[in-house]
Amino acid sequence: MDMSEKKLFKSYAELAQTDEYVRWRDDEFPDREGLLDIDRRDFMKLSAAGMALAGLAGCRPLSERKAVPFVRSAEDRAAGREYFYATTLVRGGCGLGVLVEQHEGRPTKIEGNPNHPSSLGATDVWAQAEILNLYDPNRSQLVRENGETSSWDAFYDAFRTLLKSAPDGDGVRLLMPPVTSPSVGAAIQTFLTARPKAVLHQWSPLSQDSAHAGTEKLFGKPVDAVYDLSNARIVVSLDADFLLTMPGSVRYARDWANRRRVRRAAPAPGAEINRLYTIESSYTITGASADHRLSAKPTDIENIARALYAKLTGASGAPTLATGASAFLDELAKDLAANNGAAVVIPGDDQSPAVHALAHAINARLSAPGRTVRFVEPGQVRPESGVASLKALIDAASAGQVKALLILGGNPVYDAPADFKLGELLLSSVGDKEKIPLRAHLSQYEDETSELCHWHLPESHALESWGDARAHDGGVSLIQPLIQPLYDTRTPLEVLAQLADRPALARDLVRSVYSTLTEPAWQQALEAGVLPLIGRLPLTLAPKGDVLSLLGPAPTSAAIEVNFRPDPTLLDGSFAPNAWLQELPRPITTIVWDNAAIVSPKTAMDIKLMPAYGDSDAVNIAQYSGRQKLKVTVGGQSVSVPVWILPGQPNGVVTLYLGGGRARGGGIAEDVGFDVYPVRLSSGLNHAGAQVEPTGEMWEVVYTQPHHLMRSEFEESANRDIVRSSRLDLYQSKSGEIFDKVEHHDFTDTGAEHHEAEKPDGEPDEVVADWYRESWKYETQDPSRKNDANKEGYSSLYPEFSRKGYNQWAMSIDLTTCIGCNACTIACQAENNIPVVGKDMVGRGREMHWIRMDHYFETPAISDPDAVESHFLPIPCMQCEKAPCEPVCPVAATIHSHEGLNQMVYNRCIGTRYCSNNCPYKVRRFNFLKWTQADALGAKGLDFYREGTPLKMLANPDVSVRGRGVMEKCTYCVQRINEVRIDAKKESREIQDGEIVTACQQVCPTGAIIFGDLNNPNSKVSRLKAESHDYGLLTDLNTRPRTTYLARIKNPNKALKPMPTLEAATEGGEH
Amino acid sequence: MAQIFRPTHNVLGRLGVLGAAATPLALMVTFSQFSRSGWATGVGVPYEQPVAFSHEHHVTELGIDCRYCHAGVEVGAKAGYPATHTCMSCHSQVWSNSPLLEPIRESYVKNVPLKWTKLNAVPDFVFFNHSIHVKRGLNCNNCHGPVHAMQMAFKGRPFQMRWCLECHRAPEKYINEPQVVFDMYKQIQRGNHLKDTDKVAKNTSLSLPIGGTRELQALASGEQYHRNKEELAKGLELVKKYHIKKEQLSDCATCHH
Repeated sequence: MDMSEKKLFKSYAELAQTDEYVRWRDDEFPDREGLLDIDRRDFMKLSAAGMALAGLAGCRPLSERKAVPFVRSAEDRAAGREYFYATTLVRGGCGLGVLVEQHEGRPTKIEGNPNHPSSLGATDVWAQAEILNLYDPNRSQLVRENGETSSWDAFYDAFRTLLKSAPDGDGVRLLMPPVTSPSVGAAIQTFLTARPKAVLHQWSPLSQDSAHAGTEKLFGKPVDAVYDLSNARIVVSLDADFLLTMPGSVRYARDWANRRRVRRAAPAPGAEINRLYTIESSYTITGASADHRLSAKPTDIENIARALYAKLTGASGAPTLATGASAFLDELAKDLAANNGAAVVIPGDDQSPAVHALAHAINARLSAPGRTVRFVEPGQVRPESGVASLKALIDAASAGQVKALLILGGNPVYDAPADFKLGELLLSSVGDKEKIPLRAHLSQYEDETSELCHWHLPESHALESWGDARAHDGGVSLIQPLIQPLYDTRTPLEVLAQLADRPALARDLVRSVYSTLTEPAWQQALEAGVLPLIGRLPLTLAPKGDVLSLLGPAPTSAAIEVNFRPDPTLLDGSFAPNAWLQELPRPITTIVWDNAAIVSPKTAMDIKLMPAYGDSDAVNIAQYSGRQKLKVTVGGQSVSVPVWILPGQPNGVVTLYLGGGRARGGGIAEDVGFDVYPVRLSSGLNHAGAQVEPTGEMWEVVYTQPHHLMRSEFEESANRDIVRSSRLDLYQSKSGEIFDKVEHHDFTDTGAEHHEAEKPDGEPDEVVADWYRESWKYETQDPSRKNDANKEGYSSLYPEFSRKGYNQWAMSIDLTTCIGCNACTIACQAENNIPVVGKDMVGRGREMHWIRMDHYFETPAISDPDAVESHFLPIPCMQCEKAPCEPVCPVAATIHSHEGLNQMVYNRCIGTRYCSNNCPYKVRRFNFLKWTQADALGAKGLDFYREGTPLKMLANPDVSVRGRGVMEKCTYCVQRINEVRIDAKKESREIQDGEIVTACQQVCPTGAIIFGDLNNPNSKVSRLKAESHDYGLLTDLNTRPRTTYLARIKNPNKALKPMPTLEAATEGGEH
Repeated sequence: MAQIFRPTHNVLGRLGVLGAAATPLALMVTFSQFSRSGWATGVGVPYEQPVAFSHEHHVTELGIDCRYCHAGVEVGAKAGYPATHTCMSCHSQVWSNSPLLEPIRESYVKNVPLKWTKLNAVPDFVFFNHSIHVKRGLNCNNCHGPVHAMQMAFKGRPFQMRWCLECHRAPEKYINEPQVVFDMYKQIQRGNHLKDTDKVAKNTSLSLPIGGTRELQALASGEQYHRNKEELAKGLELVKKYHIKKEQLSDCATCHH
């Protein structure tokens, strides 16, 4: 296919029409053996054996099972019902309030806590995955001394013996990741008071150090910036991934999205819609969601910030920029100035302190403080620079001043700056005496650090612990245990109290910090998950005058720069033992079970990774991306990492994701991906100049992009645009439908009027009476009738049936607010017992996720990183009304329910896969093996059947665990529908709109997914489907999907060069 | 040369042909009967339990409500088994030294749960909710047999899918007002299931199933009661009153997800 014609594509393999792509395109199961390849006799043998064995499989003797009730049960707690308890999960020190679902005393699913300021009811991929961490069989379970099983008492004795010679704690060093917990802060204080000469060191590879240093420069004291995007009409990100990895991202995503809901109703169509500018040095989902994106080298971000500051304030001394960037900044500055008081600039945690100082100086200039940003005291207990703190520890240890090193949490041997050589130091000795005679490490896994310590101490999981944490805005919420610790584990809080000789119950340690709370107030705080006076008072700060002169010389950029970013699923590596997160496709690249060095197509040619036939040669990119390794050298250290060529990546930048290549830490984490910490030096924690060279060494990176292709993506046909997007001004200028809605099934019919007409006068609205039920309008449609929805008068081969009187479930997904964070995928995995299949199986297209996040590039020229646009398209089952999967099933294992669900009956399924073959959306997943049993996948699988494995407690008891040979797919969370329906029936009432929440809807940080009843004209989903930019996928197949999408509406600045789609939209006048 | 086959061989031959045809049939019948027998389904077979608990004694003789021990039956999916504490609420006072109750006391003192053998279980891919069935007037005995009369508990019904569908396709055959569920045991305690309908109707404020005393008797004896035309009409009225959508009851996803 000629490239110039095709602007929208999923992968360069598609652009290039490579053999691999064609293989995936032409066959959903490309690895299978063709029928003609099998010998006739073998075929007969297999058929006969299959028939016989299929019959036998049904003959299972009833196994005797035990029922084990409590000895003393909790009051008001019935078996077979779920209950929710509030607690807090901590990521990077920052708390996210959650409600944890508990079945018969075991936590099974995590949801957001609507009361909590960081959550508002949503969560992120990491919160979802925590439930697997709790039951992970690889978790550390025992105290070990030099590898031998020991006990907590033995450890405490060893520590006390050491203290005998130095009761004041001389030579005792604590090393912890930064914490925000007030009770841990108090415990540290107690410890340091009891041992006055002991010293606390703090280190974490991902920290707020830059933010603190920057605000200290500007305001004279380190503070945390809290953004209020609900007030922001203009949002500028300076390398800040505030939609995914920044503390508070879940809340920021919600606030940001709340101002992007393009609706016909509201005060005016699309009034108040915000605009996002992203200036970034890698390609993040924040950049993919931006209305305008400028890519730049990491060092250039600071120069751009300086220039922007100068443009807004008229200050002198700004660096000169390239013309493109300068023009961009001119318009950006104008837009910002025009929105004084409703604009905000967000600096990224991975950027230099100078960028933070400049961003907040700009914010001050834009009257942002108090409106779109507020500053609060740092949440971190005892804020200090991690690098300086760790350096002090290294120096002391090298000088032989450290007698006991207690590492409470974290994994510094793996993630400390490479030039500190912490591992070597821990093992070094003077003569025959070790430099640090007592080393202990508290962690959830026996990892790289544990290996180099005398003592390994198992740490409790958050769901087994008492504690507290501050939210991104400084508010405090409590951590309460959902379950007794599964093993003999402790929290840092308990260990600190014990080491300070002030042992107490963990609950009492936390309670004593809040001694001012009365008992009822405490109970209430536990129930709500948040403390009554939760927020922190905003500080009034005066920025210092001329920032540019404060900052010193502008940075100079190198030809090739590397920047280090938290992996979008593994973060700093602490989540590497989690199989769900390993197998979750990384946003945009869709890489699984691996990490790669990301470079732009142009850079790939510049560094001679691929030959320069032409700068947009897709064949080339498809051939060289994810296939071979790149040697990256920084300051004399080097690593070899497979290289990934990504359009949109800034030129001259190699992005390395942290968190891969763990040497120890459980079977899942080990030897997956590549460790890039060896080139992360203390002088270049976030970015550094580097030399790169292709090694020629081969490596196969597995990614999910080419799988599950919808055929129509390559068949030319009208009205088949899978991804639809437009511009806000076009949307506003057209009162009618902005896209052809040939396909759109008429859900509303005349029901609304019908409903109005029959409503008896004086009937209160909230009472849903029988007359209402009778007037439900979802009736058989005359297929040949032409109307707005059915302009062509498509008729269906399949029988029409009446849906009158039943709820009709449907889903609407708003592509304007979908940010592609993948939280829906993993929430679905946790809710629906979806297995992991390992790298090899994903490579064969056998991943099992029920909702996949398709990603499309849109660009006329892949060589220009700023001309690349991304579209995300979450694809669950469409629950077609005329489902093509149904008539092809020989055993009726997939059939329609009266509520419009396309049901999948596992116990009927015989695994012909015809349904999947016939599914135009490719949403069906087949259990090629028994994924839940270890021999299928080896060390990278999760074995639910091993005797005594804690994983048995993980599964959602309301969903079947599927066996081998069975097809499965999204059910619209039918178990949740059934539960709500039963409750409603018991109370003799109708199901209320919004009462049923699917797992993907509940987790969505932006609230892009809405589920509800089409037969209720006032339901949210009905109203969304009536929007003019609602559309369905491949509807000319007459499948009548129940899942439809709201087209993506962007809000670009007219003065700036539009991004590719928008350009096309302008030329064409309309889409 | 003598004939190899004599006329009698004709008979043998015919029998052989018939036998060949009949054997598979016989096998099928045998297997199907076998799969429906108590040996395969467990119906009517009492299991050994850690404590020889008698439902007859506790329910019929003492009149303890089902919900005292099976507290979840109106709330959630599972009826639930009683915690040891529930047993001890009486047995710390009554029969507190009985050697039969030693396992209960041991469990309570040592804080180790009792392990009962499950009698009634549906396969893992079936999701049954007690609360909604009780709310629709389905009595414990409807599915579990004459529980109130069991010395040692046994499985009362085979729990095969066709048996579930019998009601899910025609709920009017079994549905009742919800108060009937637990009133029934009070009726049985008073011996009302032994009297005829008129007397019961006159003498009690307790509710009766749609089929009256005859249905009560059937439930008490564990036999199937077949409602007559009028009773079925009454059943249909209840179906309408509760807005039960009959067709939906046999949607696969009602029980399988």
